[in-house]
Amino acid sequence: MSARQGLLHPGFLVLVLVMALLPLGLANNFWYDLAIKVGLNAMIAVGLNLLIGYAGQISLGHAAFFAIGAYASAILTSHYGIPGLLALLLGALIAGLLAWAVARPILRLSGHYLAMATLGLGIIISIVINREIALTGGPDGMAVPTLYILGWAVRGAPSWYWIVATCLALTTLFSLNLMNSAFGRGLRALSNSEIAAASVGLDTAAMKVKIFVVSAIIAALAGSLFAHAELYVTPDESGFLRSVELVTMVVVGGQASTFGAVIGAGLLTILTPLLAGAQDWRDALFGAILVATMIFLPRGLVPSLRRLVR
Amino acid sequence: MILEAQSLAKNFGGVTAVAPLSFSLDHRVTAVIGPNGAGKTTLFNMISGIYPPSSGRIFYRGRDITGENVTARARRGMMRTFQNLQIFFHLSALENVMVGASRHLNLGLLASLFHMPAIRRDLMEARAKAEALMRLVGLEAYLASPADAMPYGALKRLEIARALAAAPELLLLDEPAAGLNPNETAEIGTLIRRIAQGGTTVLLVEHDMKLVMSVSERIIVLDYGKKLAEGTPEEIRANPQVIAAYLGAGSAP
Amino acid sequence: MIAAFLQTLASGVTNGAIYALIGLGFSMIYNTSEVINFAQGEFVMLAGMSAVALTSGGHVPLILAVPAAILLTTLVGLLVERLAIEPARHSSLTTLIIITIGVSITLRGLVEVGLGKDFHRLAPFSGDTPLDFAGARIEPQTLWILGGLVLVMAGLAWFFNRTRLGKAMLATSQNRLAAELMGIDVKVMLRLSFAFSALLGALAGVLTAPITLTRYEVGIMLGLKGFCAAVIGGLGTAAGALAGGLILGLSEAMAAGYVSSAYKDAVAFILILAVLLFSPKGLFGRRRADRV
Repeated sequence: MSARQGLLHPGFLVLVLVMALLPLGLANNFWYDLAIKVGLNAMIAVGLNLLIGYAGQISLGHAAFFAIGAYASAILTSHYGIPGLLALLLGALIAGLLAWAVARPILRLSGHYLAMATLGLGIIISIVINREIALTGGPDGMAVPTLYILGWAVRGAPSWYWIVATCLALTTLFSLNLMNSAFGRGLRALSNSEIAAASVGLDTAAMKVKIFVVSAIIAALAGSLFAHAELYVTPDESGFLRSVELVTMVVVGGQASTFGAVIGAGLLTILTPLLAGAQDWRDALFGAILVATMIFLPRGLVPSLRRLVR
Repeated sequence: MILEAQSLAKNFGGVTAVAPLSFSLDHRVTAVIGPNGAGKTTLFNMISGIYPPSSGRIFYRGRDITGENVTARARRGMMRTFQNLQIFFHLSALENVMVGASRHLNLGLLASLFHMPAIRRDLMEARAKAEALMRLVGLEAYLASPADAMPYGALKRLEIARALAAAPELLLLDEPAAGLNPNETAEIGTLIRRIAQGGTTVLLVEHDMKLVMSVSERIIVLDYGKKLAEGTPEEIRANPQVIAAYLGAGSAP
Repeated sequence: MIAAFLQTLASGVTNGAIYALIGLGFSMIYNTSEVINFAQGEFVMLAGMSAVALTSGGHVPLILAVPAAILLTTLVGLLVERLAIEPARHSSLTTLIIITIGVSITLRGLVEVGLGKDFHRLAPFSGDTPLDFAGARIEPQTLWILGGLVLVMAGLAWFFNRTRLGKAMLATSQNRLAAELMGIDVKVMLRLSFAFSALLGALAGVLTAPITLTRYEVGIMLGLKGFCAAVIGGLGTAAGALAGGLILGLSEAMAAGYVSSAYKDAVAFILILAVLLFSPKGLFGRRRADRV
C-alpha cells in the first residue's frame, strides 16, 4: 500500500468534490437535513472506525458519547448561558475524560471486556439522561439555543450543511493522517497480534486507550453540532440501539477504511427515509443487511470491493 | 555482557517447566537446545517478558529487568521472532518491517493527526530502512506484496526482518528453521551469521542440529527444565549426557 | 415493614430466577464457542410473544401453547445457528458478536412486522390470585418460575454429569481441539448449545410473560440484564449464572424499594462495570490461558 498524502488522497478529493457539489441537488430543507444527518453519522463512523477497524476493538456504547456532546451543549448553553463553542469543547472534554477513565482499566484485559464495559457505560449514561428530568428534560428531550460563532447566528439547514461538511472533511483528513503514521501502523499491527506489537516496543494498552478517547471525542463533537443544528435533543440518540446502528455503519461500509465508514454511514442513514411507507420493515432489513454483510463481506463493502478490483 | 539470568525458574501449577537456571550471554550466537518439553520456549518467554519468572532475576546490560513487561524490554533493544508466526496480516510485507522500527519512531498522537514534518520524515526513513532490510533477508521479490500473500518460508524471514528493523542489541530467534526445507534452513544460517557479524547478540532456540552446529559459538542444553550441559558445539557434540538425553541412555558410547 | 421487605425479596428472587435462566443461555454458548450471543434476549421475547399469539382469541389452550412456543423458539435457535453462525464460524469473535447483534435486530424486526408493536399479556399458569406469605403477596406465577429454575438446574446437572452427550459438551467447552481429536463433532456441539440456549431463553420467556407484559422490544433489556447476570457470576459457569442472576434480581429489588425506582434499570449495568473493573472473571469464572 503506497503512501498517499492526506490532502491529495483521491478518496479525500472525491469526498470534498461531492460535498461541494451536492447542494446543487438538494431541493429543500428536508434534503439538506438528510445530508446533515449523513454528514454527522459519517463523522462518528470515521472516528469509530479508528477503534473498530484499525485497532480491532469494539464499542457498544458510542451513542452515549454522542449524547454527552449533545446534552453538554444543550445544558451548558441554555441553563448556564455558556457560549456555544466553549460548551462544545467542554462536552468533548467530558466525553474524553469519561472514555479515558473507563478505558484505562478495561483495556489492560482482552478484547471482549471492552465490549461489555462500553455496553454498560452507554446504557447507564442513557438511563441517567432519561431520568434526570430537571437537568435534561427527560424522555421528552430539551430545546437547544442557536449557536453563535463570533456573533454570527448559525441558523438554517444550508449553513449547517457547510459546517458539518467542513467538520467531516477535517475528521476524514485526521483519520487519513493518523493511519499514515507510525502510530496508525502500530494500531493496525496490534489488531492482528498484540503480543507481536508489544514485542517491537509498542505500548499497546496506552495506544488502545488513546484511540478510544479520540473516537469518543469525535462522537461528542458530532453530538454538539447535532444539538445546535436540530435545536432539540432527545435521549433516543443515546441508547443501545443507536450504538448498534453506529457499529453497523462502520462494519458494513468497511473496517479499516476511512471512506468505507463514510459510505456505510451514508447508506444506512438514507435507509430510513428510503423505506418511507414500509417503515415497520426497517429493523428486519437493517438486521438482515448486517448479518449478510458480516457473513459474506466480513471486511465490509469498500475493502471487499477493493479486493475484487486488485 | 548483554544478558544474565540468575537462578531463573518457572513453575506452572505443580509442574516445573524450568528449574533454577543461570547463564550469561557473552558470545555472538548462543543456542538453546533440548528435547521437546525441556523448557526452551518457557525460558525464551521469560527472557522476552511474556512469562514472569517464578523465581530468579534477569539482567540486561547490568540492569535488573525482571519486573519489566514485553514492551519495556523491547524498548531497551531486545527483539524476538515467534515459533507460531505472529505476522501482521492486515499490513503489507513492507509495513510489517516498518512497524518493527516503532521504538525509534515518533508515536505522538497530535503530531500524527496533523502529519507534521517529523512524521513525514519518519515515514520516508522507515520505508527506506525497511526496504533495505527486506533485501538483506532475501525478500526483494515481496517488496510490494501484502503479508497474507507470502509463503511460509518468506514469512519466517519477514519476522526476522521486522525484528531487525529497530537495530536490536539482542535478537531472540524462536525456532527460525521450523517448517523450512534444508535449502531454506541453510539460508537462515547464513543470515544469522551475517546478523551476528553486524554486532547483534543472537540467542536462538532450535531443533535443527545442523543449523545449530553451523552458527553457534556456544550451546546450552536443557533437559526437563535443567541445564544439562553448556559449551562449544564440539564439546556438546561429544558430551555423553547430551547424547543420552537425545538418543536414549543405551546409545552413549 | 417485614411484609414490604418480604415483598421486595420475593420480587428480587423472582426476577433473579429469570435472569439466571437467561444468563445460563449466554454461558452455554460462550462455553462452547466463546461467542457472546446477543440474540439471547430475543429467544425470550419470541417464546412469550408466540405463546400469546397462539392463545389469543382462544385458539390454543395455554397448556399446549406454552410447550409449542418453547419448541418453536428452540427451532428458531437452531435455525439461527445454521444460517448465521455456522457460515461464519471461522470469522473473528468480533464479527460473530456483531452477527448475533444483527440476528437480534432481525428477529425483533420480524416480530414487529408480524405481531405488531402492542403490549400483550400471557395468561398466568395457575391463575391470578395472590398467595399470602407472612403479609407479603406472592403471585402463583412466581412459584412456577422458581420451580422452573430448580428443574432446569437439576436437569442440567443430570445432563452434563450423567449423559454421554452432556459430557461431550463439557469436554468441548474445556478443550475444543482435544474434543475434536476424540471424535466429538464440534459442529453438533455448537448446534446443541444454541438449541439449549434458545430453550432456556424460551422457558424464561413463557414463565415471565404473565407477570411482566410482553412486547416486540422486551428482549433487549432482558437479554442485556441476563448477560450482566452471567458476567457478574462468571461467564461460562452455571453456578455463576445462578448466583449472578439472584444477585442482580435482589440488588434491583432492593435498589427500587429502598433507594430509587427510577434507576432500577441501571443497577445491572453498574454491577457489570464494577465487576469488569475489579474482578473481570466474575464470582465463579475460570481463567482461560493463551498459548504463544
